[in-house]
Amino acid sequence: MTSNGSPAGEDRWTSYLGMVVAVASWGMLFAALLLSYVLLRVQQPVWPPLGSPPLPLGLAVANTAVLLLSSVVLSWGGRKLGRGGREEFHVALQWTIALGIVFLGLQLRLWQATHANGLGLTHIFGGMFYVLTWAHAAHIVAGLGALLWLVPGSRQRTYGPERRARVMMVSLFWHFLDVVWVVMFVAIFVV
Amino acid sequence: MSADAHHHEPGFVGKYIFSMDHKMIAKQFLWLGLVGLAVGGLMAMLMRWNLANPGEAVPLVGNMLFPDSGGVIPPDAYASLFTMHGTIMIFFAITPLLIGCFGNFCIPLMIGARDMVFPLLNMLSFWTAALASVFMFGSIFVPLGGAASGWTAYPTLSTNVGLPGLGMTMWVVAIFLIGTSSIMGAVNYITTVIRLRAPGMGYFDMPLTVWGLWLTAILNALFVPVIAAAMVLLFFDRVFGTQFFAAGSAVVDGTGDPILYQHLFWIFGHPEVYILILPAWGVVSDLLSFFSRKPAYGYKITALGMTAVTVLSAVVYGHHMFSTGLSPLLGQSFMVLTMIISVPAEIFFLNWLHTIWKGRIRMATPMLFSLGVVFVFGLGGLTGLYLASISTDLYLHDTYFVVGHFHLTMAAAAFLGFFAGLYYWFPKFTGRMLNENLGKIHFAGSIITITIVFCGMLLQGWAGMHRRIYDHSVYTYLQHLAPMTNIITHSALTLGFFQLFFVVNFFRSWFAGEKAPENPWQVGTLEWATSNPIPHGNFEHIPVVFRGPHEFNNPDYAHLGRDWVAQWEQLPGDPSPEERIASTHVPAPQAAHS
Amino acid sequence: MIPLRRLLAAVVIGLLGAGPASAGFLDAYKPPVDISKEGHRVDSLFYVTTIMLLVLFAILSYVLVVSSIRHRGKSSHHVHFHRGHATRDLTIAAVISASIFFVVDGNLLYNSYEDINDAFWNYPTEGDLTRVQIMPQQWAWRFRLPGNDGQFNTADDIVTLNDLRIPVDKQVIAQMQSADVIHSFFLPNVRQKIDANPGSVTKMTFTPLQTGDFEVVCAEMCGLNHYKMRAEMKVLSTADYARWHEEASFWALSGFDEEDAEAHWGWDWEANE
Repeated sequence: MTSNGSPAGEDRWTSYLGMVVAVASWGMLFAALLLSYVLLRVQQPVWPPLGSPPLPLGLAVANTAVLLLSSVVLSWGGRKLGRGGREEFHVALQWTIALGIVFLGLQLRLWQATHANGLGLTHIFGGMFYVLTWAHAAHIVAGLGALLWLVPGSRQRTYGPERRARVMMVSLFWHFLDVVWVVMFVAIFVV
Repeated sequence: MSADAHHHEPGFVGKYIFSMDHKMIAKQFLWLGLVGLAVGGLMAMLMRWNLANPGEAVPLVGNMLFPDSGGVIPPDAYASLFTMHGTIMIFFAITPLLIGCFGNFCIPLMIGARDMVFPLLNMLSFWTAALASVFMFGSIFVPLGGAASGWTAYPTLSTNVGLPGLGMTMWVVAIFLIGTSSIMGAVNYITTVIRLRAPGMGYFDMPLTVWGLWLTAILNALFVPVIAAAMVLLFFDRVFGTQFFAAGSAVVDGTGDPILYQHLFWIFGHPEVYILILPAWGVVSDLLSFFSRKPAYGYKITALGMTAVTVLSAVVYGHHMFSTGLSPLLGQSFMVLTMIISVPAEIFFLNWLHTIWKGRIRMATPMLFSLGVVFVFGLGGLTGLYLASISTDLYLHDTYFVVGHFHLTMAAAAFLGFFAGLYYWFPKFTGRMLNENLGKIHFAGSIITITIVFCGMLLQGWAGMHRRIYDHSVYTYLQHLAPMTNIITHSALTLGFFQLFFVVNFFRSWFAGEKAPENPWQVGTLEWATSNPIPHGNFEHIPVVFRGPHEFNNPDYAHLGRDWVAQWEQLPGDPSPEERIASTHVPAPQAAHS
Repeated sequence: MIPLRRLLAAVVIGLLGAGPASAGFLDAYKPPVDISKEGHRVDSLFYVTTIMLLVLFAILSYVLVVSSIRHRGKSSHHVHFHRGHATRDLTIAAVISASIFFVVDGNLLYNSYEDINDAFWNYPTEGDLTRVQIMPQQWAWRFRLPGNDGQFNTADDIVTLNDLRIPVDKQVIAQMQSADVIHSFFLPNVRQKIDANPGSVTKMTFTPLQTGDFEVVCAEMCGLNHYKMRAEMKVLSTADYARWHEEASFWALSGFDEEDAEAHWGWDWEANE
């Protein structure tokens, strides 16, 4: 922040509160998309509609595992950081980013597979599938950017409250994306 | 560390363009909103001209705007006009003026903060809105015409089936962007109110303006994402060929559901009307007290009443869809819920009337506009009852009755509330007063014409005139309404004419108005605790708050020889700052840089 | 300072004058003639509610006017310092609001509930009915009546464009869906409208009690020529209708063209809904 900005209130709970509100907003965005999915679904006699190509469930399960693991690693690192373990946090951060990139790679494979199976955008189920997963993936990319933003700071000696606040905010966002993915996974692949 | 130690003068770009100062951002939103208001208003006048004189060339500007048709507004341009009028007025006039401008200007000053919590986000919010307005205004000029499906943009008309042009796609993008801007602002407002209140200021010591803006921000944060989702889906339908809103039928093939869009739209759309009116309610609740020189009657109940309306607004949206073939059970539930919302609204409306009763009213321009809000909102609120009831709504839905109703509530009331606030805060804004005489002419001209225009529409709606119609003379049962159409058109043009008094007043006063005294209205809320012009960081020392915002004619302070007491004044008998802070549990904000 | 009594008198006189004046005004802007068995429900609910709301609006105007004149400016009267936070104040506000709710909103709720359950949304499935299928398109109304065989989607269906003919005194049930964008089937003389959506069927029922020509209106913005998407509804006497129906059904059967896919937009009657 420049000196003429942020004249007040950079304490970590303030920033965190802002992030909570923003995440609530994002939550409503995904909730609205999922509501659309549900409302379109209940109008069809069978779901996915007859003639829909099969979904690569194995890939999706692997993907879910990867993203869940990344969240676990990040929260482990955050706890260590709370007790002064900056080295551990630094490692955890790198692992989280790596797992996030793996997730994106697997998503790409997933889209390739569905595309190869003939699931197109004009198909009602396909359209919903791509909108949901693309919207989520776009946020994962943003989340990765935010995690990368933490990397230079995590090397430095001093770890002031401002950096602590950033870690809390980014972690919240990342865990949120994890939860959104799990809900999507259940909605699309399981039920 | 003092604020000045960090303060170095930013250059022109930093100060006027990419400014992160909430006061400058408020001014930027003000200009954006005034441009929107002017464009939207002129569009309304073109429409009114056409309704009264269908097929006749528009005088003066007709040949310039519609050269292909010899100055006559063609039906497609008319459809574009009412679409853009609605969209611009809602998203590029009321939103920037009442939420962008007042929100940015009033919240930090009235709660005693040095700025918003996230100044960078605040700047981004404005520039996202500016980008959105480029898309919105630009959409008018692209080939195949602009958006023309009404501000509600119901598919399948709003998909490629009905409007294949690029303009409609740009409209969708613009709504998404302005929504993003609103959410950024909302995150800022909510957090700022929670974290940066001056020491000693509990939630029930905040001015009702701040309450209104805060509740608006909460609704924005929660429900704007829903329209954003609808816009994403509509964008996909238009650009990527998905079929979310295209349903199987003779012409269109698809297994989607156009009604799904209506659900998404109104889940957002009904809170949106409260988003637009809550700031005006807040401003009016304060000003009625300030200019009646009486405490806001039932202050806490008003605040809680507005909160109750905010909560209920999330569960009543179905009353916009009574005629879509909604299931009877859903229809009845939404009817009951909608009626319930009238209870808290009545309670704070009664509080308003109680506030002005037996006061010592100062009939300054801000007060006149506030009373105007009470009047038009009374009319608009009461007429809403017919539309909440399914039986009468089946007849009145999509007629001019609806048009009259929502213009009285969210257009007239919101803009009169804006003018009330602008006349009131202008001295704080610019250090100069707006001219009172011009202001009073502006008010008188506006309130009379507004009443005629929108009450005329109510009558026409009851007579069965449906809306979004280019030429009513097509229908025999509407032909006897032509005289009223003429009356409304003349009143609307007169309404436009009276805004010139405001324009002249605004520009003259901004540069050469009478210098404002420090506290021109003798009111004790925190924005009047700081000097004019407002210094960097707003306050030299953040004041400690000892009381609520409406201490007028309190017999306990009769010995002071004035009828008001400021929130920041420590009088004999008041607790010490430390005691006050301890009892309210509101400490000084932990400021990193001050 | 204007004395309260004189002002009160002025307000009362004003209201007494404004009442009939506004009644006369409302009369000039009353809806088109009601030809249906159900339409009076809307009209009476509207007028009763209007009278109640005019009383509320008069009280609102009274407070605004009296306060603005009597309590203004430099008058030396005692300012009534009152925060309105006592339990008593809250109780009064709650009682007033609750009374308004139970009387005005309650009346609306009760009547609406009755109206939709007894009439507007009470769709008959059997009995002597005039069944109509409607498929609006940009920018015309297509109507389909069953021919002599009484079945929809058969060769003798009577298909008309912008011309709906129905017999008087017989309950009508219409099913509709749109061919393209959303339209809304609005009959001002029946006080009802219902949207016609693409992809799903919506319904409307009413009983015409008067013969004559009436207008059908599209009430949902449906594009460029929405404003002239108008049709005629001709309510015929029973005998006239029977004669016309016989003839039209004959011509429909003789003019039936298997190849003309455009004309076969009907669907099987959704009886159980």
